This record gives sequence, C-alpha cells and structure tokens, in this order.
Amino acid sequence: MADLPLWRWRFLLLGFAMLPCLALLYARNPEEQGLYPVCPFYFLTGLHCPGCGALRGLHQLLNGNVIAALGYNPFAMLTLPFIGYAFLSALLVTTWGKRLPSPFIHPALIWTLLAAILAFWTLRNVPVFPFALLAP
Amino acid sequence: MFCVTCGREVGPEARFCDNCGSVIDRTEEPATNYAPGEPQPVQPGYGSAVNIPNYLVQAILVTIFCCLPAGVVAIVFAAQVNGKVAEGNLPEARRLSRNARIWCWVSFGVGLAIGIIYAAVIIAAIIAGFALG
Repeated sequence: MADLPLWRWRFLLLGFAMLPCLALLYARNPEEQGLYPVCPFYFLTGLHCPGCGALRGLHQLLNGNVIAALGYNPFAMLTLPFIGYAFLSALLVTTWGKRLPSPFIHPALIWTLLAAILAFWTLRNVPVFPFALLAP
Repeated sequence: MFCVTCGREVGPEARFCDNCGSVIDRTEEPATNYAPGEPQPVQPGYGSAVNIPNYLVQAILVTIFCCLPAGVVAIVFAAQVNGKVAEGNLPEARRLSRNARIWCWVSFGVGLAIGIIYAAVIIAAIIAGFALG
C-alpha cells in the first residue's frame, strides 16, 4: 500500500457523483413514465418493499413538499437525518481524519429498529384502510 | 491492530488506515492487549478506544434504499455487534463486525448484479423496439 492514502478520494468522488443524480431527481418526477426504471423487487414480486416510494418521496422532499414525501415513504424519510449525519461523519473522516461524536447505540434499540422495518414491510402490503396509508 | 478512527483492522506495518485514510497512532494499542477468548470489561459508549463498527447505517441503506432482503441479515449482525460490545466481549464483537460488513457487501453486490441484468434487459427491449419499428 502506498504511503499516501490516495483512494480516500473515492468517498469524495462518490459524494460528487451524487450531486448530478440529486439534480436530476429534483428536476424530474419519478411519477413520469419512462425516465426511471421500475424497481426490480416490485417488478418481480408486485410487493412494496420497505424502500418503495423512497425515490418519489426524495423528489418531493427536494422540491420542499415534506408532507407529500412522508406520504410516499415515512420510514425512509425519517431515517434520512441519521443517514445524513453518518454521511457527514464519514466525509469528515476522509477529509480531516476527524469524525462527529458517534454515541453507542443500545442493542435493544437496533433489534427494535429491525422489528419496525419488518413490520413496516409487512403492513404496507396489507390493502386495508389504516395500513393502506403506509403504501406509496 | 485496529484503526482508532473507524475501527477497521489494519496491517501491523500500516501507517494509514485502509478504510478511512487516518494516520495510525501506535502510541497506544488498546485492542491488542486482550487474551483471545477472554472477555474484557469495557465502558459501553467509550468511543475512541473501543470503536468496533457495526455497519448499521450501511445495513439500513441496503435494506431500505436498495430494497434488499439480505440487508436484514446485516442489521441482525449489527445488533449483535453492539450486544457483544455491551457485554465486553470484544473478540466476538470484532468477528460479528466482520460478518456485518460482509453481508452489507453481499447485499450491495447482489443488488448491483440484479440492477445490471435489469438494465441490460431494458436496453435490449429498447433496441428490439427500434429494430421492429
């Protein structure tokens, strides 16, 4: 391995590659036909996975429509602040070698999160009134 | 020897971490002093000395944002990593941490492969559409 950790730039490269993708997502609504491909999981199974609606929700969020974004996928939208924090921390590690404080997450909390994801996955596929709200 | 910044295992001679690029500080080596298999009492949440990555964020990304059932396995490992850290069983936590990382990559790889096959099918369909007028 070389002395200079040049490949630390791979993370920055990834970050910059995200910008044009976000710009495209801001400008074009995934509800339009033809531009974005259909999710393979939905195509194969006809079921909504826990991420279903995340792209459409992100488009609404980029355009400032928070309520519409939550309507497409509340779960994905609520995890975004945490993922953003982790991304920022990783960005600081790769640029300055420093990271943001990362509190220890109690294992019970992670098990709860797993249960919540599986419950969300199941319930949003139930086409009955209260659960149908969870579908995108 | 483990990177103090991100927790990834690094080689004995490494000057920089393979994962995050941080300079490896050799003045204190907290992780190498335990006897294998012997649990060490640690303060949960004491960040820098006992920093074992659980890959929870990556696991959630592949599960929720890539729609991949294999990501669920990665979340299970992530939960177990923190469980072992809380118990003070660091060797076991490191083993589970490696498994969590492997399953994140498995999920990502499978997702990427499906995506490429899927894109190839769509492109083939478009070309066929043009060819048939």
